[in-house]
Amino acid sequence: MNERSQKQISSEKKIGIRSLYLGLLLGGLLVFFLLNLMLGSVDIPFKEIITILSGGKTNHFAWQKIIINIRIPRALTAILAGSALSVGGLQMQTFFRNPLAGPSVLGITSGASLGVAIVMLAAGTITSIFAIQQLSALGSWIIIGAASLGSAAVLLLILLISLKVRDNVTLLIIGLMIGNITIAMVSIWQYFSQPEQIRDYLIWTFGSLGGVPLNRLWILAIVVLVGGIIAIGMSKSLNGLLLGENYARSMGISVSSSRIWIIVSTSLLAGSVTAFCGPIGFVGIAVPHLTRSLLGTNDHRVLIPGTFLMGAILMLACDIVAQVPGSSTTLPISAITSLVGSPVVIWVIIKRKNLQASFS
Amino acid sequence: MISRRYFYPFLNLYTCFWTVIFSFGTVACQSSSHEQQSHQTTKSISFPEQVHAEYAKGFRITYHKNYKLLEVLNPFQNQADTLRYALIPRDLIGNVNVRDARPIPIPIQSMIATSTTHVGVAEMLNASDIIKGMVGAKYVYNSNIRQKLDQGEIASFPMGAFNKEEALNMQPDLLMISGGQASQFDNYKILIDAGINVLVNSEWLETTPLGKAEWVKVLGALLNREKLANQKFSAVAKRYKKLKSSVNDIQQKPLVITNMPYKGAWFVPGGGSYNATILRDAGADYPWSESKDTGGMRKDFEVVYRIGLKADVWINPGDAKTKEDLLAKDSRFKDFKPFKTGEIYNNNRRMSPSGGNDFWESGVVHPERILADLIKIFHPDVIPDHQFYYYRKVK
Amino acid sequence: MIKQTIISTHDLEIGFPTRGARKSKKVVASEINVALQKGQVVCLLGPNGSGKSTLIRTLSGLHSPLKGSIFLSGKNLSQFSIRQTARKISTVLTDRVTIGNLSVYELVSFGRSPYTGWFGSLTPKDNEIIEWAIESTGIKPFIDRDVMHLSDGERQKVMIARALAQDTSSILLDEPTAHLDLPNRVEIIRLLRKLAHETKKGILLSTHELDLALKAADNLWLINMEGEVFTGTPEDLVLDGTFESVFEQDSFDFDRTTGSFTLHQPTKEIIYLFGDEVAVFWTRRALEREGYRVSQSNGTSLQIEAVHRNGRFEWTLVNDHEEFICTSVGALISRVQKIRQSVDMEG
Repeated sequence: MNERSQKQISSEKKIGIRSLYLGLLLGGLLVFFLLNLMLGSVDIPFKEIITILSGGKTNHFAWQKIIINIRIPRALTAILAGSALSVGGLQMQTFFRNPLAGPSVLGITSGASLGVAIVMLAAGTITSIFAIQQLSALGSWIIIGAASLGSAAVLLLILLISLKVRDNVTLLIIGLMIGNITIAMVSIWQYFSQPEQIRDYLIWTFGSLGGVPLNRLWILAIVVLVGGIIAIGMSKSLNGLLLGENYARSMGISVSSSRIWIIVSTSLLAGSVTAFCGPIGFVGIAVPHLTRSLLGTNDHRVLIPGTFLMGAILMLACDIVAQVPGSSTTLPISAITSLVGSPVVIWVIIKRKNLQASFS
Repeated sequence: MISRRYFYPFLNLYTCFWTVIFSFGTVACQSSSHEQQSHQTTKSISFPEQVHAEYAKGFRITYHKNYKLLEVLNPFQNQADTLRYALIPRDLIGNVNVRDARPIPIPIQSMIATSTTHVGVAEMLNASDIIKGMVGAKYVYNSNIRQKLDQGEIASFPMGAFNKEEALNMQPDLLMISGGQASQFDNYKILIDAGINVLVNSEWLETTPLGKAEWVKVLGALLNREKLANQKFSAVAKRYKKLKSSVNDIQQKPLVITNMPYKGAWFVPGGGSYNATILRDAGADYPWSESKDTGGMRKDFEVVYRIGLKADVWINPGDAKTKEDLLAKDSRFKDFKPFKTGEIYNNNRRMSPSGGNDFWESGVVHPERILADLIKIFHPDVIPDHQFYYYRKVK
Repeated sequence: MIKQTIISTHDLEIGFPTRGARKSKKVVASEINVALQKGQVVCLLGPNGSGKSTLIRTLSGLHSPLKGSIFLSGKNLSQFSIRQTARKISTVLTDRVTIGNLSVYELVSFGRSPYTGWFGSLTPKDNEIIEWAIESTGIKPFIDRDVMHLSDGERQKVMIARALAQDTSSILLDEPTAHLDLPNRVEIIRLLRKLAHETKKGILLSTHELDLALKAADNLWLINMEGEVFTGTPEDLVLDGTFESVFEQDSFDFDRTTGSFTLHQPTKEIIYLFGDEVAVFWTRRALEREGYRVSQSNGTSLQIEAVHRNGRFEWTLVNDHEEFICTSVGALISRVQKIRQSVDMEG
C-alpha cells in the first residue's frame, strides 16, 4: 500500500516538474520575444515599445512603423522557423534513430534551394523580369513558389521511394544522396551564371528571417501549424518507434502509415521554412537534444511541445545576435545558428557521456 | 503516468502558444492597414513643363490634372506588369486618389540611393543634396557626397541585406532601387508595406545608351525640374547623335574585344546589349554584334582568345591598370595583337581612392562622353582635339 | 478443447518471398500444424538456423507467411488489424533496445499502446495493469531508473513487463534467456511458468537451453534443418527418438537416461558404482569424463561405493583384492588412474 502511494507521488512529481518546465519555456519565449523587439539597429526605448504593442498612440511615427512592420513580423517568423525546424529535426532523429539527423536529411531543403536557383540563376535577363514582377502587386510569389515546388518535388520522390524501401537506413542514405544531387545541379547552374546572379543567390542561401511581410506570414503560420498538429498526432507512434519498428508493430502501431505521416509533417515544416526564409541549418539538429536534456525524457507527448518552445526561443536568441544590436550591419542568420548552436551541442554531449543511447 | 490530468494542462499551454502568436499577428495587421481618402479637390494644378520618353522603353510619364503618372514598364514582356506611381504635389497629397498607383509626394526632398548611378543622375540635375542615405558608400566617386558620407551627414547603408530599420527611421521621400538584386526584393516589399516609396529605376534594362540616359527625366519629374532635365538631356542626345553620324559612314571598322575571362569562361556583351550598341555607334566591329542577346553571353576562353589574337583593340579589361596587371592574370594575353600594339584601353581613368569609378556614376547620364572616348580610340582622326574623359590607355 | 487454443496454424509455410536479389522464395519450414493452448508454456527448439525466429515472427504477424494460415481464437490472423492483433499477441524479441532518457515505468507503459487513444493517455485502469505487470516481474526496485542503465537481466524483465502490460492472451518470446547468466535464466523461466499458471496466458518461447526447456515446457515444438516441425510433451519426444533426430550431430549423442548430451566417448573399462544417490551422480560424471563407463550391475574388476557419512562423502574403491578409501573425488580419480597404470605395466 505504502509502495503504491509512493509510486503515485513520484509520477505526479514528474508531471508537476514537466509542466513546470513547459511553463518556464513558455515564459522564456515571451521574454525573448520582447527582447527581440527591443534590440535592433535603431534604439527604441522599452516604454515606447509597450505603448505601440498595446495599440496606444505614439508621437514617433517611424518607431511605430519599425516595430509593427519590421520587428514584429521578424520575431514571429523567428518563432515559426525555430519551432518548425526543431520539430522536424526531432521527428527525423527518432524516425531514423540517428542523433545527427536534421530536417534536411530527406533532401527537402535542397529541393527548395534548387527551385530558387532555377529562378535566380537562369541565364540572361530572366531574373530581371522576375525582379520587376516581385515588386508589382501580382507577382511577389516567384521565389516562394519556386522553393515550394522544389520541396514538393523532392517530397514526392521520397514518398514514392519509401513505399518501395522497407529499411530506414536505406531511406536515409537515399535522402542524403538526393540532397547531394540537387546541390550538384545548383552548382552547375551557378557555373553558367553571371557573377551578380551568383552573388544574389548566395545572399539567399544565408537565410533571412526579416523578409516575410505580415500578409504572407499567415500562410507560413498555417503550414507550420498543420505540420505541428500532424507531429503531435504522431506522438504515440514516435514513442513506439523508439523501441524499433518490430516492437512498434507488435504494440499495434502501423509503421507504414506512420512513416508517411512523419515524412509529410517534416516536409511541411522544413519545406515551408526554407521556402520563406531560405536555408537555415543546425537548429533542427541541436534543439531536440537541448530539449531532451532539459526535460529528461524521450516521451514525445512532452518532447514535441517542449521542442516547439525551445526551438522558438533559440531562434529568437540567434536572431538577436544576428541583428548586432546597436550597429547597422546584420549577420546572416544561418551562420549564427551554427555558431551559437554548435558549442551548445558539444556541451550537451560532454555532459552526457553516452550519446548513442542518450539521444533516443 | 501520463494521464488525462496531464494532457489538459499541456493542451492549454499549446493553445496559449498559438494564441500568443496569432494575437500579435492580428494587432500588427490592423495597425498597418492604410487608410484611403478621397475628397473632392478644390485646387487644381497643371504642369507646364513636361518630359516624355523618346528613347527609353522602360518608363512612361503622362501628365494629368493634379498629378503625373509614372509607369515603370517591363520592356521584355508584352503585357505590362507595370509599376505605377502617381506623382502628386505635396499640398494635394491625400486629396488625390489615383487608381492602382502608389502616391509619391513631389518634389521629393530626401532619397536613399542604392547605386552610384543614382548619384550620377541626381548630380546632373544639381540635386545631389537630396541624397540622405547611400548603399555602397565606398563606390561613390562624387567628392561632395563622399565627404558628406565621411562626416555622417549621409547615412551609409551596408551592402547585402538592406537595413530596413534605418531606412524606416529615416522616413525618406524615396528609396530608389535598381539592378538585379532579387534577393532583396522581399525586404523592399516590406518597406513598401510600411509606407516607404520604393521606386524601381530600371535604366539597367535599357539597351540603348540614350535610353539609359533618358532616365534622368524620371528624376526630373520627381523633382519638378523637367525644364532642366529636358535641357540637359537634349544636349546629351544632340551631341551623341552628332558623334554617331560622324563615324557612320566609315567602312574601316576596327575589331574589338571586351572584358576579361574568369576561370575559363569569358563573359561578353550580347549583340542587343547596351555595351554592344555603343561599340557599334562608335564605329567598331564587334564580333558578336549579330546575336540578339541583351545580356551577357558566356563564351569559352579559346573562342575569345582566337579573336583576341587578331583584334585591333581591347577595351574594358576588368580592373587592369597596366600591362603587368594583365600578364599577372594570364600570361597568354601577351599573344594578343592589341597587347603587342598597345591598343588596350580601360574605363578607369576617373577613380576615387576607395575604388569608386565615375564611369559607372556619371557615365550613365553622359553617354556622349563615353562615345567620344570610344571614337577617339577607334577613329582618332575624327575627333583629334578630344581629351579622354573616362578611358585611358593601359600601358 | 478448442476453446483452449489461442493460436493455431494450418499447413503454415514460413520463409522469405522472392524479392530483389532472391530469385525464388526461400522456404524455412512448411506444413506446420501447431497450436498454443491457454496456460501452456511451449518451448520452440531447434538447431541454429532452423528457423525459430522466423516462426515466432510469422506467428506474431511481423512476417507474412508464404502459404497456409494462422488462426487467432479461431479467426484468421490476416483478418485482424494491427491494433487488434496487438491486443491478442505480445512479443519479446531479440532486437536490441538502445534508447535512453526513458524511465522503466515509461517503457512498461508503452505496452498499453493497443488500448490507449490517439495521444496515448493512460486511464486509471491502464495504471493498474501497469502496476500489476511491474509487481509480477519484480522490477519495482528500479522503476524510475533510465533504461539505459539496466543490466541485461533487468532489461529483459522490463521488456517482459511491457509485454505483460499489453494484457494479451498469448506472449511470444524469441530467445528470452540469451545473454543471461544462469540465475537470471532460471528466474525468467520460473516467471514465465508462474504467469502461464496464474493468468492462463499461452506462452511460447524459443531457446537454446535444452536442459531448461526439457524441464520447464509443457509442450515442445521441435524444428529441424529440413523445415519440419514436431510437437508433443518433452518426455514423449525424447522417448520416441524425435528429440535425438532433430539434434543429431556427428560428434555427440543424446543420452536419454540422463537427459543430456554425452560429451565424452568411453575409452576405458567399466566400473561398478553404487551408493548414495547424490554422490553416485557426481562421481559418475567425473569417471565418465576420464573415459570410464559406469555400470549399475556388479561384475567388474573395479568397484566403487560412495557413502555419505557425518556430513561428508567417502569413497571405497575395491580392486580385486585391494581396498582404498578416498575422501574426495579428485583423490579417487588419481587412485583409479594409478591402478590402471599398474595394470598396464603388468601386462
